[in-house]
Amino acid sequence: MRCHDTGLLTADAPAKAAGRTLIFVGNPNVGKSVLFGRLTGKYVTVSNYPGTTVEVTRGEAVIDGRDYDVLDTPGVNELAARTGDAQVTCHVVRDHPDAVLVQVADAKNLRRALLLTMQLAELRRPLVLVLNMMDELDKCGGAIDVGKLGRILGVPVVPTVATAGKGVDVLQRSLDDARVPSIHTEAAADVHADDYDRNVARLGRANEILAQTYRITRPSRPTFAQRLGWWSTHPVKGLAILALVLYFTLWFVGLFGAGTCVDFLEHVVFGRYINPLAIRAVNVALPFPHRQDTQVSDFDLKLPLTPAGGITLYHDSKTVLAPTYSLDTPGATPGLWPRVKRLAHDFLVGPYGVITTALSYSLAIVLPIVTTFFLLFSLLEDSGYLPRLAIMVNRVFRWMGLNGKAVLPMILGLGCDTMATMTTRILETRKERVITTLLLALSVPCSAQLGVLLAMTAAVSVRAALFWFALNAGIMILIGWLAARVLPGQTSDFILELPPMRRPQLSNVVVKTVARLEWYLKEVVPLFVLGTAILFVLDKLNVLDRLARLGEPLVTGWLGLPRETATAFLVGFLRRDYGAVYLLDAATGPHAVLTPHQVLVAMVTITLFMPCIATLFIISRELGRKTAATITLFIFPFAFLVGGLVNHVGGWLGF
Amino acid sequence: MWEAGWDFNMNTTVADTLHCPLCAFDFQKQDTACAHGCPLGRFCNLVRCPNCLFEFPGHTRTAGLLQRLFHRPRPARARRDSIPLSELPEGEASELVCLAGSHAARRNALAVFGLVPGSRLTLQQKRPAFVVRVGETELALEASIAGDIYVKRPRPRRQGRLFRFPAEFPQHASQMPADAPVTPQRQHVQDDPARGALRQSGFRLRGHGQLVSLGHATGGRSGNSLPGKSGRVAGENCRGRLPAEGAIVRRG
Repeated sequence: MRCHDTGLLTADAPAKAAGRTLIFVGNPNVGKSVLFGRLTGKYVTVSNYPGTTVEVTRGEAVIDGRDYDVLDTPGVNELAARTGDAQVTCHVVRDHPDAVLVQVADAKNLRRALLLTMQLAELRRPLVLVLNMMDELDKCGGAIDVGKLGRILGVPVVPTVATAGKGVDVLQRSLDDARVPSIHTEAAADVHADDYDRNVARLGRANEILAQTYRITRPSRPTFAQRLGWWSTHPVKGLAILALVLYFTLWFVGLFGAGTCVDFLEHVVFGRYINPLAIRAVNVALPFPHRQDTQVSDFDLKLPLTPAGGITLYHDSKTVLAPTYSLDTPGATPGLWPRVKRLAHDFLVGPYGVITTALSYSLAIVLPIVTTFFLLFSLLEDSGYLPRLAIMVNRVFRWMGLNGKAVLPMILGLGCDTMATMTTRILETRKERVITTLLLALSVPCSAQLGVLLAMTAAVSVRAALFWFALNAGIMILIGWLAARVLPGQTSDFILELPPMRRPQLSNVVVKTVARLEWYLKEVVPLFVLGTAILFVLDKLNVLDRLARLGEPLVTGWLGLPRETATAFLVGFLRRDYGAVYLLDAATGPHAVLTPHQVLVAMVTITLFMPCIATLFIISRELGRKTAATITLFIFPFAFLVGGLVNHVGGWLGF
Repeated sequence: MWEAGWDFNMNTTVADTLHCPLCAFDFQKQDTACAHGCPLGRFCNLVRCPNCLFEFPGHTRTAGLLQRLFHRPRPARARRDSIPLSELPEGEASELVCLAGSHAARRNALAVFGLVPGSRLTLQQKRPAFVVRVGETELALEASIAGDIYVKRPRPRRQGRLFRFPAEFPQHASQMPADAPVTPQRQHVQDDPARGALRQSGFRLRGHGQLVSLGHATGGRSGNSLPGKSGRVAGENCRGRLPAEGAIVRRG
């Protein structure tokens, strides 16, 4: 496999000569990141599925007055680079020859951890073995003779419960005692043996060690969490649980987040207070002769039950200031100064204003959706449900030349496509990574986009909304199927480790949600502002009009949409939800300019757009510029093609 | 125990394996390169058995044609003692006998999760995908992989069995304690009719070392030699014919 990531890693690799370096290594999903957070005080996304960490995280820690550089690496089952994330770990270990290795092990799965220990021992590096999750070992009736294990391996062995912070101080004290393991296997020296033979020999040795140090008497009754885990992979109960999870997601994100919360923020917070206040403030600061328009703002506080109805708790309506205005003397030609003031006024609070458009879109419409989604998503991640979902969908994914493992990046894509594109590193072959990346970019909308698109479905019939969903799913499977046939390469075997089902820790869920929201505010909101600024400039220079005329054959002729929507597709290049928000504006509200049929066509087209410009950058970083360019050149014409087909064929079908 | 009636699928196995007519050793085509600097070089049709160094003509097109023409299915010899994981009933515990699959990468991918010959595994479910439990690891597998994993159900202890594997961590054949009781091979094989059947079906002792028991283990890489190295059991491999049920050889 090629090393895509070496350049990235070695660029910032030079280790500090003064401080010592600690590298956390270990099997996937054993708690390296939690321990890393405990030592450095830096939060790393922590979840309950293998492959949460796909990049190296750096942090610093001061232990006993000494500075340490601490590196958190993606989990590996062995020191051979088969997947992208394993490569990252192998390179980090190789690039820091003087580092102390801290191997984190799941105490329950000591056998597999010892396999890795023996591989690390062959590197002749100082090592500390951390037995994490000792509490879970207790629960399942196991016990480890830590002292004896330490004597056999010849390294300090530290039992910890990282999530509760137990044993971290012992780890800090034993870092100085780190030494090269004294254990070795005959097979390691055998040049004729292949990886498999060597690992079999290592596991044989691990068994000997375990026989002396490890006991387990499993409780006879499975716990509720275990049962839940079994139900969620059951062919029938699993589907029921899946349906339940989907419905709850729809309710919590689609109805509560995108409905109640958005209503409140958009109509009350922004519509009645922030926007009018900003307009007044700007009017005072930059006066020019004009009269601001007013609009009626309706507000319903609703507790949604189904997509169709709910309980209205409170209702009122109020007249508020609108961002549009009329000049006092329409025909007059004012001087330079009023014109500059008017320009600044428009830039801040005009129809394409930073406050009235960019901020209210990103904070009032998208933020609540993203928040509710991330909250629910963090819960699902920490419970250990997602890898079990992979079992349920494996067969469908096989049609697309993928295996069930690819469901992890796909589901993550519902959170953010950019991050999901990076997570494709957990897939083993390049073919799978390319297909998954393509499908993510083509038809997996991120939470913000999904929210806006769901809001748009309000403007069309339920039948049309279902058609949109089925079409999107169908395109995903069809394009996946075609790509699987066109692209060279192989699909890897479906071998996936299922983490135990756990009760999510509230603190981790909250911290993770906050960390993701911070990312959203830092990365997405500036893009919204930038998009608005570009639109504003284009609008003032009358380029928008000209562009709209240029795109007329495509937009008006092929898609059958009004000329103004060309703007939406233009900004859709930047972020597809931003384009969708424009369409949403045109589709709903008192001045709807789109017919339901047109809304459907617009929705289909914008859904198939590239998610955002950041995704494009990440694709070119992960898969190379050529692939990124190919994907882009495929996606945009394809989106317009399908949109046009829906326009013409959908007309006959009665949508 | 070993009754007739098992028919096996020959088509998938014999493609690249050669069978030495002298010593009945099965081997792969690639490790047969001529070693004595023959001027014919690669135009030579002979292959050499790596076990007994006997040279014989390998597969030629005509021979293959004739073989196919007159091929008769071999009479069934023994009931399979190990079954693919896909035939194991749900919820049952079993012991891994061997990983059959053709490519090494897959076997290694399973090995790093602890799936090696001798390990205990429980089949939790078969649909929509296989889920097995090895130690404290739950692993989801596809049906195609499960079909390549051969397991045997644990049986009650029988008379004449030499070693009982420790309940919690079954050991690999090569790691058997050196002071284990040993019965002379000849006597042992004759004693037990099941093992006699095994011997007739092609198992025999090669080299030095003592055959202790035809317990359960797999062949090594080629499926023929045991990981124990010092003794060799030639015979059928796990992939198609009779699984080499873990002959245990004492180093001698």
